[in-house]
Amino acid sequence: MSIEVNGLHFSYGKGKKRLTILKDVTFSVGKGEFVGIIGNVGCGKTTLIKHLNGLLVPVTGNVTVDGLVSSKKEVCRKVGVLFQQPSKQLFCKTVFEDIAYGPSNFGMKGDELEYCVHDAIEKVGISSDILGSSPFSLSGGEMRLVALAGVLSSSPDYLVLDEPTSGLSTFYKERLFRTLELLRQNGVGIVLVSHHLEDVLGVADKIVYLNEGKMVFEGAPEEYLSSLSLPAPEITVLMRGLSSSGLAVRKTVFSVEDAFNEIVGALSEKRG
Amino acid sequence: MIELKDVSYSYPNGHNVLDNIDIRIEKGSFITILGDNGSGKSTLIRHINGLLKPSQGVVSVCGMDPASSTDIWKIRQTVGMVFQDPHSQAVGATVEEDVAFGPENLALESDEIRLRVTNAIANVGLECLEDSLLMSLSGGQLQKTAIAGVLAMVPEILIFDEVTSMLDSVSRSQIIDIVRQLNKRGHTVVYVTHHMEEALFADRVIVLENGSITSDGTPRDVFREIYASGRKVPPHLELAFRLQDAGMISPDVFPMDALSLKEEICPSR
Repeated sequence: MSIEVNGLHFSYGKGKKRLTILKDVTFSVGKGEFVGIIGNVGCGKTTLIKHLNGLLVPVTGNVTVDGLVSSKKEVCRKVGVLFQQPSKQLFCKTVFEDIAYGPSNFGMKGDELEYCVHDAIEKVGISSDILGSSPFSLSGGEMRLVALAGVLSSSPDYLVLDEPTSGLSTFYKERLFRTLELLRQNGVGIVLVSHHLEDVLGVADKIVYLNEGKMVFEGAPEEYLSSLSLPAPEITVLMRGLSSSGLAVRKTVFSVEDAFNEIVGALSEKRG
Repeated sequence: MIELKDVSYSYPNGHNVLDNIDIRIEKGSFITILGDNGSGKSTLIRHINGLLKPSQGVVSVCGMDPASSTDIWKIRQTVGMVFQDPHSQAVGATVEEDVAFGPENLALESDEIRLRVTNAIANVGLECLEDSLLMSLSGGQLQKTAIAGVLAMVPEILIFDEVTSMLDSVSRSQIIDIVRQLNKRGHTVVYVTHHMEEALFADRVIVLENGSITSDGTPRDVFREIYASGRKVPPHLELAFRLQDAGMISPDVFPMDALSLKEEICPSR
Protein backbone atom coordinates (compact mmCIF):
# COMPACT_ATOMS: atom_id res chain seq x y z
CA MET A 1 0.00 0.00 0.00
CA SER A 2 1.67 3.22 -1.13
CA ILE A 3 1.64 6.26 -3.35
CA GLU A 4 3.73 5.50 -6.44
CA VAL A 5 4.95 8.28 -8.73
CA ASN A 6 6.50 6.86 -11.92
CA GLY A 7 8.28 8.86 -14.62
CA LEU A 8 6.06 11.89 -14.06
CA HIS A 9 6.30 14.66 -16.66
CA PHE A 10 4.09 17.74 -16.52
CA SER A 11 3.93 20.91 -18.57
CA TYR A 12 1.53 23.80 -19.05
CA GLY A 13 0.58 25.02 -22.56
CA LYS A 14 1.33 23.50 -25.96
CA GLY A 15 3.78 23.89 -28.85
CA LYS A 16 6.11 26.90 -28.57
CA LYS A 17 4.28 28.10 -25.46
CA ARG A 18 4.90 24.84 -23.62
CA LEU A 19 6.36 25.39 -20.15
CA THR A 20 7.74 22.20 -18.65
CA ILE A 21 7.41 22.07 -14.85
CA LEU A 22 8.25 18.46 -13.93
CA LYS A 23 10.68 16.13 -15.70
CA ASP A 24 10.76 12.39 -15.05
CA VAL A 25 10.00 12.37 -11.31
CA THR A 26 9.86 8.94 -9.63
CA PHE A 27 9.43 8.18 -5.92
CA SER A 28 7.08 6.42 -3.50
CA VAL A 29 5.41 7.10 -0.15
CA GLY A 30 4.59 4.12 2.06
CA LYS A 31 2.08 3.92 4.93
CA GLY A 32 3.67 5.47 8.03
CA GLU A 33 6.52 6.85 5.93
CA PHE A 34 7.53 10.53 6.18
CA VAL A 35 8.80 11.96 2.90
CA GLY A 36 10.23 15.48 2.72
CA ILE A 37 10.15 17.25 -0.66
CA ILE A 38 12.54 20.18 -0.74
CA GLY A 39 13.73 22.70 -3.29
CA ASN A 40 13.66 26.42 -3.95
CA VAL A 41 10.52 28.38 -4.77
CA GLY A 42 9.46 27.65 -8.37
CA CYS A 43 11.16 24.24 -8.61
CA GLY A 44 7.85 22.39 -9.11
CA LYS A 45 7.10 21.18 -5.57
CA THR A 46 3.51 22.41 -5.47
CA THR A 47 2.82 21.14 -9.00
CA LEU A 48 4.16 17.75 -7.95
CA ILE A 49 1.93 17.37 -4.91
CA LYS A 50 -1.15 18.38 -6.88
CA HIS A 51 -0.62 15.09 -8.76
CA LEU A 52 -0.82 13.04 -5.56
CA ASN A 53 -4.59 13.45 -5.16
CA GLY A 54 -5.54 13.91 -8.79
CA LEU A 55 -5.77 17.72 -8.88
CA LEU A 56 -3.38 17.50 -11.83
CA VAL A 57 -2.86 14.59 -14.21
CA PRO A 58 0.61 13.76 -15.62
CA VAL A 59 1.32 14.54 -19.28
CA THR A 60 3.34 11.32 -19.31
CA GLY A 61 4.09 8.83 -16.55
CA ASN A 62 1.60 7.86 -13.86
CA VAL A 63 0.65 8.29 -10.20
CA THR A 64 -1.17 5.58 -8.27
CA VAL A 65 -2.49 5.54 -4.70
CA ASP A 66 -2.87 2.07 -3.16
CA GLY A 67 -3.10 0.74 -6.70
CA LEU A 68 -5.72 3.28 -7.88
CA VAL A 69 -4.95 5.82 -10.60
CA SER A 70 -4.78 9.20 -8.82
CA SER A 71 -7.58 10.74 -10.91
CA LYS A 72 -10.09 8.23 -9.42
CA LYS A 73 -12.66 9.81 -7.10
CA GLU A 74 -11.77 7.48 -4.19
CA VAL A 75 -8.26 8.93 -4.11
CA CYS A 76 -9.56 12.31 -2.83
CA ARG A 77 -10.52 10.66 0.46
CA LYS A 78 -7.32 8.68 0.72
CA VAL A 79 -5.01 11.68 0.23
CA GLY A 80 -5.64 14.84 2.26
CA VAL A 81 -3.86 18.01 1.14
CA LEU A 82 -3.08 21.06 3.29
CA PHE A 83 -2.26 23.99 1.02
CA GLN A 84 0.19 26.79 1.77
CA GLN A 85 -2.41 29.48 2.37
CA PRO A 86 -4.93 28.12 4.88
CA SER A 87 -7.31 31.04 4.28
CA LYS A 88 -7.98 29.57 0.82
CA GLN A 89 -9.04 26.28 2.40
CA LEU A 90 -11.42 27.79 4.97
CA PHE A 91 -14.82 28.98 3.84
CA CYS A 92 -17.50 28.22 6.45
CA LYS A 93 -19.02 30.54 9.06
CA THR A 94 -17.64 28.61 12.03
CA VAL A 95 -14.61 26.45 12.77
CA PHE A 96 -16.98 23.53 13.51
CA GLU A 97 -18.66 23.75 10.09
CA ASP A 98 -15.29 23.98 8.36
CA ILE A 99 -13.90 20.87 10.05
CA ALA A 100 -17.21 19.02 9.53
CA TYR A 101 -17.42 19.91 5.82
CA GLY A 102 -15.39 16.93 4.52
CA PRO A 103 -16.93 14.11 6.60
CA SER A 104 -20.48 15.47 6.20
CA ASN A 105 -19.97 15.40 2.43
CA PHE A 106 -18.99 11.75 2.80
CA GLY A 107 -22.35 11.16 4.56
CA MET A 108 -21.39 11.43 8.24
CA LYS A 109 -23.89 13.11 10.60
CA GLY A 110 -25.18 13.39 14.17
CA ASP A 111 -23.07 12.21 17.11
CA GLU A 112 -20.57 10.54 14.83
CA LEU A 113 -19.88 13.85 13.06
CA GLU A 114 -19.68 15.71 16.38
CA TYR A 115 -17.15 13.16 17.68
CA CYS A 116 -15.15 13.33 14.44
CA VAL A 117 -14.82 17.15 14.62
CA HIS A 118 -13.77 17.11 18.30
CA ASP A 119 -11.30 14.32 17.59
CA ALA A 120 -9.75 16.29 14.68
CA ILE A 121 -9.36 19.50 16.68
CA GLU A 122 -7.86 17.55 19.58
CA LYS A 123 -5.34 15.92 17.21
CA VAL A 124 -3.99 19.33 16.13
CA GLY A 125 -3.77 20.51 19.74
CA ILE A 126 -6.27 23.38 19.68
CA SER A 127 -8.93 23.99 22.32
CA SER A 128 -12.47 23.09 21.24
CA ASP A 129 -13.55 26.48 22.68
CA ILE A 130 -12.96 27.99 19.22
CA LEU A 131 -15.37 25.67 17.40
CA GLY A 132 -18.08 28.35 17.39
CA SER A 133 -15.74 31.15 16.20
CA SER A 134 -15.30 32.31 12.63
CA PRO A 135 -12.13 30.74 11.18
CA PHE A 136 -11.23 34.21 9.86
CA SER A 137 -11.06 35.66 13.38
CA LEU A 138 -8.12 33.36 14.22
CA SER A 139 -4.39 34.08 14.07
CA GLY A 140 -2.40 32.74 11.08
CA GLY A 141 -1.06 29.81 13.12
CA GLU A 142 -4.50 28.82 14.43
CA MET A 143 -6.01 29.09 10.93
CA ARG A 144 -3.42 26.68 9.59
CA LEU A 145 -4.09 24.14 12.36
CA VAL A 146 -7.87 24.46 11.83
CA ALA A 147 -7.35 23.84 8.08
CA LEU A 148 -5.29 20.77 9.05
CA ALA A 149 -8.09 19.58 11.36
CA GLY A 150 -10.46 19.98 8.38
CA VAL A 151 -8.23 17.65 6.37
CA LEU A 152 -7.78 15.14 9.20
CA SER A 153 -11.52 14.90 9.89
CA SER A 154 -11.86 12.83 6.71
CA SER A 155 -9.26 10.35 8.12
CA PRO A 156 -6.93 10.30 5.11
CA ASP A 157 -4.42 7.46 4.67
CA TYR A 158 -1.88 9.95 3.32
CA LEU A 159 -1.38 13.57 4.29
CA VAL A 160 0.31 16.07 1.97
CA LEU A 161 1.36 19.44 3.40
CA ASP A 162 2.54 22.32 1.19
CA GLU A 163 4.93 24.66 3.04
CA PRO A 164 2.98 24.22 6.30
CA THR A 165 5.53 26.15 8.38
CA SER A 166 5.54 29.26 6.18
CA GLY A 167 4.43 32.19 8.33
CA LEU A 168 4.19 29.93 11.38
CA SER A 169 5.83 30.88 14.69
CA THR A 170 8.01 28.45 16.66
CA PHE A 171 5.14 27.70 19.06
CA TYR A 172 2.72 26.57 16.32
CA LYS A 173 5.49 24.91 14.34
CA GLU A 174 6.34 22.63 17.28
CA ARG A 175 2.65 21.86 17.77
CA LEU A 176 2.28 20.98 14.08
CA PHE A 177 5.27 18.61 14.12
CA ARG A 178 3.96 16.86 17.26
CA THR A 179 0.68 16.22 15.41
CA LEU A 180 2.51 14.90 12.33
CA GLU A 181 4.60 12.53 14.42
CA LEU A 182 1.47 11.07 16.04
CA LEU A 183 -0.15 10.62 12.63
CA ARG A 184 2.93 8.90 11.29
CA GLN A 185 2.92 6.53 14.30
CA ASN A 186 -0.69 5.71 13.44
CA GLY A 187 0.34 4.64 9.94
CA VAL A 188 -0.46 7.79 7.97
CA GLY A 189 1.97 8.37 5.10
CA ILE A 190 3.16 11.98 5.19
CA VAL A 191 4.54 14.17 2.42
CA LEU A 192 5.92 17.47 3.67
CA VAL A 193 6.89 20.11 1.12
CA SER A 194 9.19 22.84 2.35
CA HIS A 195 12.04 25.11 1.42
CA HIS A 196 13.19 25.09 5.08
CA LEU A 197 15.76 22.29 5.21
CA GLU A 198 15.92 22.02 8.99
CA ASP A 199 12.14 21.46 9.17
CA VAL A 200 12.39 18.38 7.00
CA LEU A 201 15.75 16.77 7.78
CA GLY A 202 14.95 16.10 11.43
CA VAL A 203 11.69 14.26 10.80
CA ALA A 204 11.73 12.70 7.33
CA ASP A 205 12.59 9.07 6.54
CA LYS A 206 13.31 10.06 2.97
CA ILE A 207 14.23 13.28 1.17
CA VAL A 208 13.30 14.15 -2.41
CA TYR A 209 15.16 17.21 -3.71
CA LEU A 210 13.81 19.00 -6.78
CA ASN A 211 15.74 21.49 -8.88
CA GLU A 212 14.02 23.15 -11.84
CA GLY A 213 11.49 20.33 -12.04
CA LYS A 214 14.06 17.51 -11.97
CA MET A 215 14.51 15.13 -9.07
CA VAL A 216 18.22 15.47 -8.34
CA PHE A 217 18.24 13.50 -5.09
CA GLU A 218 16.20 10.77 -3.40
CA GLY A 219 17.47 9.12 -0.24
CA ALA A 220 17.88 9.20 3.54
CA PRO A 221 18.56 12.52 5.34
CA GLU A 222 22.06 11.29 6.28
CA GLU A 223 22.88 10.71 2.59
CA TYR A 224 21.48 14.13 1.70
CA LEU A 225 23.74 15.80 4.26
CA SER A 226 26.77 13.93 2.89
CA SER A 227 26.29 15.41 -0.55
CA LEU A 228 28.31 18.60 -0.95
CA SER A 229 26.46 19.64 -4.11
CA LEU A 230 23.09 20.10 -2.34
CA PRO A 231 22.05 23.07 -0.15
CA ALA A 232 22.86 22.40 3.52
CA PRO A 233 21.49 23.72 6.86
CA GLU A 234 23.64 26.40 8.50
CA ILE A 235 24.82 24.10 11.31
CA THR A 236 26.01 21.56 8.70
CA VAL A 237 27.84 24.36 6.85
CA LEU A 238 29.52 25.28 10.15
CA MET A 239 30.53 21.67 10.84
CA ARG A 240 31.96 21.28 7.32
CA GLY A 241 33.97 24.47 7.88
CA LEU A 242 35.29 23.23 11.23
CA SER A 243 36.24 19.88 9.71
CA SER A 244 38.09 21.63 6.85
CA SER A 245 39.98 23.71 9.44
CA GLY A 246 41.22 20.52 11.07
CA LEU A 247 38.77 20.03 13.95
CA ALA A 248 37.75 16.38 14.30
CA VAL A 249 33.95 16.70 14.00
CA ARG A 250 31.33 14.89 11.92
CA LYS A 251 30.32 16.88 8.85
CA THR A 252 26.74 15.58 8.53
CA VAL A 253 25.45 17.01 11.82
CA PHE A 254 22.58 19.53 11.54
CA SER A 255 21.07 19.77 15.04
CA VAL A 256 22.43 22.16 17.70
CA GLU A 257 22.53 19.37 20.30
CA ASP A 258 24.70 17.07 18.16
CA ALA A 259 26.89 19.96 17.00
CA PHE A 260 27.51 21.08 20.62
CA ASN A 261 28.53 17.59 21.70
CA GLU A 262 30.81 17.13 18.68
CA ILE A 263 32.52 20.52 19.13
CA VAL A 264 32.98 20.21 22.90
CA GLY A 265 34.43 16.72 22.44
CA ALA A 266 36.81 17.81 19.66
CA LEU A 267 37.93 21.02 21.42
CA SER A 268 38.48 19.23 24.74
CA GLU A 269 40.65 16.66 23.03
CA LYS A 270 42.55 19.32 21.07
CA ARG A 271 43.18 21.48 24.13
CA GLY A 272 44.12 18.45 26.22
CA MET B 1 10.62 60.77 14.86
CA ILE B 2 8.10 57.97 15.61
CA GLU B 3 6.59 57.88 19.07
CA LEU B 4 3.87 55.65 20.52
CA LYS B 5 2.78 56.73 24.00
CA ASP B 6 0.67 54.39 26.14
CA VAL B 7 -0.99 52.94 23.03
CA SER B 8 -3.66 50.27 23.45
CA TYR B 9 -5.87 48.82 20.77
CA SER B 10 -8.98 46.62 20.97
CA TYR B 11 -11.09 45.27 18.13
CA PRO B 12 -14.79 46.16 18.18
CA ASN B 13 -15.53 42.71 19.69
CA GLY B 14 -13.49 43.76 22.75
CA HIS B 15 -10.47 41.60 21.94
CA ASN B 16 -7.45 43.48 23.28
CA VAL B 17 -4.52 43.32 20.83
CA LEU B 18 -2.12 46.00 22.11
CA ASP B 19 -1.62 46.91 25.73
CA ASN B 20 0.05 50.16 26.87
CA ILE B 21 2.77 50.26 24.23
CA ASP B 22 5.53 52.87 24.64
CA ILE B 23 8.09 53.08 21.81
CA ARG B 24 10.33 55.88 20.55
CA ILE B 25 12.11 55.32 17.24
CA GLU B 26 14.87 57.72 16.20
CA LYS B 27 15.42 58.93 12.64
CA GLY B 28 17.68 56.66 10.56
CA SER B 29 17.45 53.69 12.92
CA PHE B 30 16.73 50.06 12.03
CA ILE B 31 14.20 48.50 14.40
CA THR B 32 13.00 44.91 14.23
CA ILE B 33 9.72 43.97 15.86
CA LEU B 34 9.77 40.28 16.70
CA GLY B 35 6.85 38.19 17.89
CA ASP B 36 4.77 35.05 17.36
CA ASN B 37 1.63 34.88 15.23
CA GLY B 38 -1.09 36.89 16.95
CA SER B 39 1.32 38.85 19.19
CA GLY B 40 0.11 42.21 17.83
CA LYS B 41 3.05 43.06 15.50
CA SER B 42 0.96 43.89 12.43
CA THR B 43 -1.61 45.76 14.52
CA LEU B 44 1.16 47.87 16.03
CA ILE B 45 2.73 48.98 12.76
CA ARG B 46 -0.65 49.79 11.24
CA HIS B 47 -0.86 52.59 13.81
CA ILE B 48 2.27 54.24 12.37
CA ASN B 49 0.69 55.09 9.01
CA GLY B 50 -2.84 55.59 10.26
CA LEU B 51 -4.35 52.34 8.98
CA LEU B 52 -5.54 51.86 12.56
CA LYS B 53 -6.29 54.42 15.26
CA PRO B 54 -5.42 53.64 18.89
CA SER B 55 -8.25 52.89 21.32
CA GLN B 56 -6.11 54.68 23.89
CA GLY B 57 -2.85 56.65 23.78
CA VAL B 58 -1.13 58.79 21.17
CA VAL B 59 0.97 58.11 18.05
CA SER B 60 3.24 60.76 16.59
CA VAL B 61 5.14 60.46 13.27
CA CYS B 62 7.52 63.33 12.39
CA GLY B 63 5.36 65.57 14.58
CA MET B 64 2.13 64.52 12.82
CA ASP B 65 -0.82 62.55 14.18
CA PRO B 66 -1.71 59.50 12.02
CA ALA B 67 -5.19 59.46 13.59
CA SER B 68 -5.88 62.96 12.24
CA SER B 69 -7.64 63.28 8.89
CA THR B 70 -5.64 66.44 8.09
CA ASP B 71 -2.25 64.75 8.55
CA ILE B 72 -3.07 61.38 7.04
CA TRP B 73 -2.10 62.10 3.39
CA LYS B 74 1.26 63.57 4.37
CA ILE B 75 1.86 60.59 6.68
CA ARG B 76 1.05 58.07 3.93
CA GLN B 77 3.77 59.73 1.80
CA THR B 78 6.21 59.78 4.70
CA VAL B 79 5.62 56.17 5.76
CA GLY B 80 5.83 53.45 3.08
CA MET B 81 4.59 49.95 3.91
CA VAL B 82 5.44 46.65 2.23
CA PHE B 83 3.22 43.69 3.10
CA GLN B 84 3.67 39.93 3.41
CA ASP B 85 1.97 38.89 0.17
CA PRO B 86 3.38 40.83 -2.81
CA HIS B 87 0.36 39.81 -4.94
CA SER B 88 -1.89 41.89 -2.70
CA GLN B 89 0.14 45.01 -3.55
CA ALA B 90 0.52 44.49 -7.31
CA VAL B 91 -1.56 46.86 -9.45
CA GLY B 92 0.24 47.23 -12.80
CA ALA B 93 0.72 44.78 -15.68
CA THR B 94 4.52 45.24 -15.88
CA VAL B 95 7.20 46.05 -13.30
CA GLU B 96 7.54 49.60 -14.64
CA GLU B 97 3.78 50.25 -14.62
CA ASP B 98 3.44 48.86 -11.12
CA VAL B 99 6.26 51.00 -9.71
CA ALA B 100 4.93 54.10 -11.49
CA PHE B 101 1.42 53.71 -10.04
CA GLY B 102 2.11 55.64 -6.80
CA PRO B 103 3.96 58.67 -8.29
CA GLU B 104 1.40 58.88 -11.14
CA ASN B 105 -1.31 59.27 -8.53
CA LEU B 106 0.59 62.17 -7.01
CA ALA B 107 0.16 63.97 -10.37
CA LEU B 108 3.91 64.56 -10.72
CA GLU B 109 5.61 65.75 -13.92
CA SER B 110 6.43 62.86 -16.23
CA ASP B 111 10.22 63.48 -15.97
CA GLU B 112 9.97 63.26 -12.19
CA ILE B 113 7.92 60.03 -12.43
CA ARG B 114 10.49 58.54 -14.83
CA LEU B 115 13.35 59.48 -12.48
CA ARG B 116 11.63 58.04 -9.42
CA VAL B 117 10.72 54.79 -11.20
CA THR B 118 14.25 54.33 -12.58
CA ASN B 119 15.83 54.98 -9.17
CA ALA B 120 13.38 52.74 -7.31
CA ILE B 121 13.87 49.83 -9.75
CA ALA B 122 17.67 50.25 -9.55
CA ASN B 123 17.53 50.23 -5.74
CA VAL B 124 16.06 46.73 -5.74
CA GLY B 125 18.19 45.47 -8.67
CA LEU B 126 15.35 44.80 -11.12
CA GLU B 127 16.66 46.91 -14.05
CA CYS B 128 16.68 43.94 -16.45
CA LEU B 129 13.05 43.09 -15.64
CA GLU B 130 11.61 46.59 -16.02
CA ASP B 131 9.32 45.59 -18.94
CA SER B 132 8.47 42.12 -17.63
CA LEU B 133 4.89 41.12 -16.85
CA LEU B 134 4.25 40.76 -13.11
CA MET B 135 2.60 37.38 -13.74
CA SER B 136 5.93 36.06 -15.08
CA LEU B 137 7.91 36.99 -11.94
CA SER B 138 8.99 34.74 -9.06
CA GLY B 139 7.82 35.51 -5.52
CA GLY B 140 11.13 37.19 -4.68
CA GLN B 141 11.05 39.35 -7.82
CA LEU B 142 7.45 40.31 -7.09
CA GLN B 143 8.35 41.32 -3.53
CA LYS B 144 11.24 43.44 -4.89
CA THR B 145 8.72 45.11 -7.24
CA ALA B 146 6.47 45.87 -4.26
CA ILE B 147 9.44 47.44 -2.43
CA ALA B 148 10.29 49.51 -5.52
CA GLY B 149 6.67 50.68 -5.70
CA VAL B 150 6.93 51.99 -2.16
CA LEU B 151 10.39 53.55 -2.77
CA ALA B 152 9.00 55.49 -5.76
CA MET B 153 6.92 57.46 -3.27
CA VAL B 154 10.26 58.55 -1.66
CA PRO B 155 9.13 57.81 1.90
CA GLU B 156 11.37 58.72 4.83
CA ILE B 157 10.20 55.74 6.88
CA LEU B 158 9.91 52.20 5.53
CA ILE B 159 7.83 49.53 7.27
CA PHE B 160 8.22 45.90 6.23
CA ASP B 161 5.55 43.49 7.47
CA GLU B 162 6.72 39.84 7.28
CA VAL B 163 7.99 40.51 3.75
CA THR B 164 10.05 37.32 3.49
CA SER B 165 7.61 34.80 4.90
CA MET B 166 6.57 33.49 1.47
CA LEU B 167 10.10 33.42 0.02
CA ASP B 168 12.88 30.83 -0.14
CA SER B 169 16.26 31.34 1.52
CA VAL B 170 17.93 32.87 -1.57
CA SER B 171 15.19 35.47 -2.09
CA ARG B 172 15.04 36.11 1.66
CA SER B 173 18.69 37.05 1.92
CA GLN B 174 18.39 39.27 -1.19
CA ILE B 175 15.45 41.14 0.35
CA ILE B 176 17.28 41.55 3.68
CA ASP B 177 20.32 42.95 1.83
CA ILE B 178 18.05 45.47 0.07
CA VAL B 179 16.47 46.52 3.41
CA ARG B 180 19.93 46.98 4.99
CA GLN B 181 21.10 49.07 2.03
CA LEU B 182 18.00 51.27 2.25
CA ASN B 183 18.69 51.86 5.94
CA LYS B 184 22.33 52.77 5.15
CA ARG B 185 21.03 55.31 2.62
CA GLY B 186 19.12 57.06 5.40
CA HIS B 187 15.67 55.47 5.51
CA THR B 188 14.29 54.73 8.97
CA VAL B 189 13.37 51.03 8.91
CA VAL B 190 10.77 49.22 11.00
CA TYR B 191 11.03 45.55 10.13
CA VAL B 192 8.41 43.10 11.40
CA THR B 193 9.18 39.40 11.40
CA HIS B 194 8.95 36.19 13.34
CA HIS B 195 12.17 34.90 11.76
CA MET B 196 14.67 35.55 14.53
CA GLU B 197 17.73 35.42 12.28
CA GLU B 198 16.37 38.42 10.37
CA ALA B 199 16.44 40.47 13.58
CA LEU B 200 20.22 40.11 13.94
CA PHE B 201 20.88 42.96 11.51
CA ALA B 202 18.83 45.59 13.35
CA ASP B 203 20.15 48.30 15.70
CA ARG B 204 17.41 47.40 18.13
CA VAL B 205 14.97 44.53 18.64
CA ILE B 206 11.56 44.87 20.26
CA VAL B 207 9.79 41.65 21.26
CA LEU B 208 6.00 41.61 21.44
CA GLU B 209 4.04 38.94 23.31
CA ASN B 210 0.26 39.01 23.61
CA GLY B 211 0.20 42.71 22.79
CA SER B 212 2.85 43.80 25.30
CA ILE B 213 6.56 44.58 24.93
CA THR B 214 8.55 41.91 26.75
CA SER B 215 12.08 42.82 25.55
CA ASP B 216 13.63 45.92 24.02
CA GLY B 217 17.35 46.30 23.35
CA THR B 218 20.27 45.44 21.10
CA PRO B 219 20.09 42.08 19.26
CA ARG B 220 22.90 40.81 21.50
CA ASP B 221 21.00 41.59 24.75
CA VAL B 222 17.58 40.56 23.51
CA PHE B 223 18.71 37.21 22.10
CA ARG B 224 20.63 36.40 25.29
CA GLU B 225 17.47 37.15 27.25
CA ILE B 226 15.33 34.97 24.97
CA TYR B 227 17.85 32.13 25.21
CA ALA B 228 18.07 32.46 29.01
CA SER B 229 14.30 32.12 29.24
CA GLY B 230 14.52 28.73 27.50
CA ARG B 231 13.00 29.82 24.19
CA LYS B 232 14.37 29.18 20.70
CA VAL B 233 16.96 31.48 19.11
CA PRO B 234 18.57 30.97 15.64
CA PRO B 235 20.50 27.65 15.60
CA HIS B 236 23.99 29.17 15.23
CA LEU B 237 23.28 31.56 18.11
CA GLU B 238 21.95 28.81 20.38
CA LEU B 239 25.12 26.87 19.66
CA ALA B 240 27.27 29.96 20.37
CA PHE B 241 25.52 30.62 23.70
CA ARG B 242 25.88 26.98 24.75
CA LEU B 243 29.59 27.00 23.87
CA GLN B 244 30.00 30.28 25.82
CA ASP B 245 28.23 28.80 28.85
CA ALA B 246 30.54 25.77 28.62
CA GLY B 247 33.57 28.10 28.52
CA MET B 248 34.57 26.93 25.03
CA ILE B 249 34.48 30.36 23.31
CA SER B 250 34.71 33.97 24.49
CA PRO B 251 31.58 35.31 26.26
CA ASP B 252 31.89 38.53 24.20
CA VAL B 253 31.22 36.83 20.88
CA PHE B 254 27.93 37.55 19.05
CA PRO B 255 28.22 35.82 15.66
CA MET B 256 25.93 37.06 12.90
CA ASP B 257 25.98 33.73 11.07
CA ALA B 258 27.35 30.17 11.15
CA LEU B 259 30.59 31.05 9.35
CA SER B 260 31.43 33.84 11.85
CA LEU B 261 30.89 31.32 14.65
CA LYS B 262 33.16 28.86 12.87
CA GLU B 263 35.93 31.51 12.89
CA GLU B 264 35.50 31.92 16.65
CA ILE B 265 35.70 28.19 17.32
CA CYS B 266 38.48 27.36 14.92
CA PRO B 267 40.00 30.27 12.94
CA SER B 268 41.06 29.57 9.35
CA ARG B 269 44.78 29.16 8.99
